[in-house]
Amino acid sequence: MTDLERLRALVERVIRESASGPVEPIEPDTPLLISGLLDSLTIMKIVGEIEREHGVRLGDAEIVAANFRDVRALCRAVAPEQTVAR
Amino acid sequence: MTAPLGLDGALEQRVLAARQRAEPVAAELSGADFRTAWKALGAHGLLTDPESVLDGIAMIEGLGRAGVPAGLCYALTSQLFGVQRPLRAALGEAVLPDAVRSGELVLCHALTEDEGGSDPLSMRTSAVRREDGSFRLNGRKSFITAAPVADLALVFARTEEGNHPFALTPFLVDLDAEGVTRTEAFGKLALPEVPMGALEFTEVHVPAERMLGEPGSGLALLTATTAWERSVLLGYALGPMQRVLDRTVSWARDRSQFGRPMGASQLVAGRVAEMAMALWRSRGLVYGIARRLDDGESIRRLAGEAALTKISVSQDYIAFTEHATALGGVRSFVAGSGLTAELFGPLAGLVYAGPNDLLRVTVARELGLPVQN
Ligand SMILES: Cc1cc2nc3c(=O)[nH]c(=O)nc-3n(C[C@H](O)[C@H](O)[C@H](O)COP(=O)(O)OP(=O)(O)OC[C@H]3O[C@@H](n4cnc5c(N)ncnc54)[C@H](O)[C@@H]3O)c2cc1C
Repeated sequence: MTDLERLRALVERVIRESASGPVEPIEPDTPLLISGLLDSLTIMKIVGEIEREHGVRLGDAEIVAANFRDVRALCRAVAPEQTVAR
Repeated sequence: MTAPLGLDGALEQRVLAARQRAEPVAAELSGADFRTAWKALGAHGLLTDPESVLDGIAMIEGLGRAGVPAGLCYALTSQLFGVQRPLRAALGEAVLPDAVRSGELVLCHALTEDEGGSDPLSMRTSAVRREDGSFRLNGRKSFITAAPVADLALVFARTEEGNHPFALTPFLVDLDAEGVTRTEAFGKLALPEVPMGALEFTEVHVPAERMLGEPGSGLALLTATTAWERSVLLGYALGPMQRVLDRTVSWARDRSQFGRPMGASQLVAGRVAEMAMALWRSRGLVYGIARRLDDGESIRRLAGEAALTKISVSQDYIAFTEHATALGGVRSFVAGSGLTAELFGPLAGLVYAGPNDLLRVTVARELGLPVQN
């Protein structure tokens, strides 16, 4: 599984857990912020899960809107060394 | 009781060493204004973070046991672990001037506003970026511990419109800068030894390098500062609790009612045992999470347990205080009686560092409930 797919699944899982109703599948390009899918607790939960599953630590400067726009952007922040298919 | 509930020998030694150092100072502190008291503690090296969180909490417990007023213990815990630690951990050692470490410079944590209390994303204070990269800060922060006496403030301000999670950015603001005004200290009833007030910012120039992180990284820092507070801030109460337990035991032994010592009545003994349990649990939780922080566990991953710790210890402190107040009888309500109850301090724990009810939401969310706050 690629990093992108792992991350997509992680984000989808956390969003599903936090939502009180059904959630459409999350694709790499699904806008996360403008749709209101992410509140602050969900964002920090995603960060925590990334740190646990991917064994990386995100700095404060990486936990910003540009990196949470969609899963693809997040993947670039988490695994910058891996080329992310556009 | 002399047995230190919930402390192993090594930790108890550290607490006692701090108590010994603080005892001569404690006597000078009652009635002194905050700055004078702070200076006296600093002169004895009692304001400096001793590197490990565990040692820091042990030092603060020692101060409390020596009789340093609870409000000063609270202020110190909040300086070291609510502001300094999270800032250094997130942004490196250089983020704070050296004089902060010795306690010469006092910080405050300015998040709350008159309207945005438990809902910080609704805050109004704003920072607008200028062409040269600096910011113009406008707004008002209210109910800020140490605001009337602080030199520097960690200020969260909005850098974007709307209540979205990345609208906030943290800044380190010089409180003697032009455009900053402080209100008089509020008539604060809880922890009165540290003053509380509001800060007003009118067109305050904040240099680019005083932005902490990136635009929008307020959420990340805020999560860290609040998780630190929730982990160990209530550690300030351990020393004061031990003192209250000790004096309650003496009182129950010495005072005679119904022709026998009060403490010979089982319900009295039961209340004392409840107090001991509350202190025991509180020590276990605070020192336990301190150890995990020292082991390098990520503060973000501890956020759920930090919330559990804060709720548990603050609720125990309230229950503990109720027992002590009942056993002190009328003397609990008379200043200078030797058994005067401290009620506002414990109850304030329901509200600061995240109201307990909102923290319950955090806990339930961690467990997988789809609950919103
Ligand atoms: C001793 C003390 C020191 C403080 N120091 C500082 C400081 O240094 N810096 C700083 O920025 N702030 C400080 N504060 C302020 C503190 O952070 C706020 O009081 C807190 O965030 C709550 O805001 P509020 O008082 O406006 O309560 P509100 O937001 O008005 O809420 C009041 C109560 O309503 C309930 N409530 C509200 N909304 C919900 C909800 N969605 N779900 C469940 N319950 C809800 C809760 O029980 C809550 O306690 C301090 C407060 C105290 C008491």
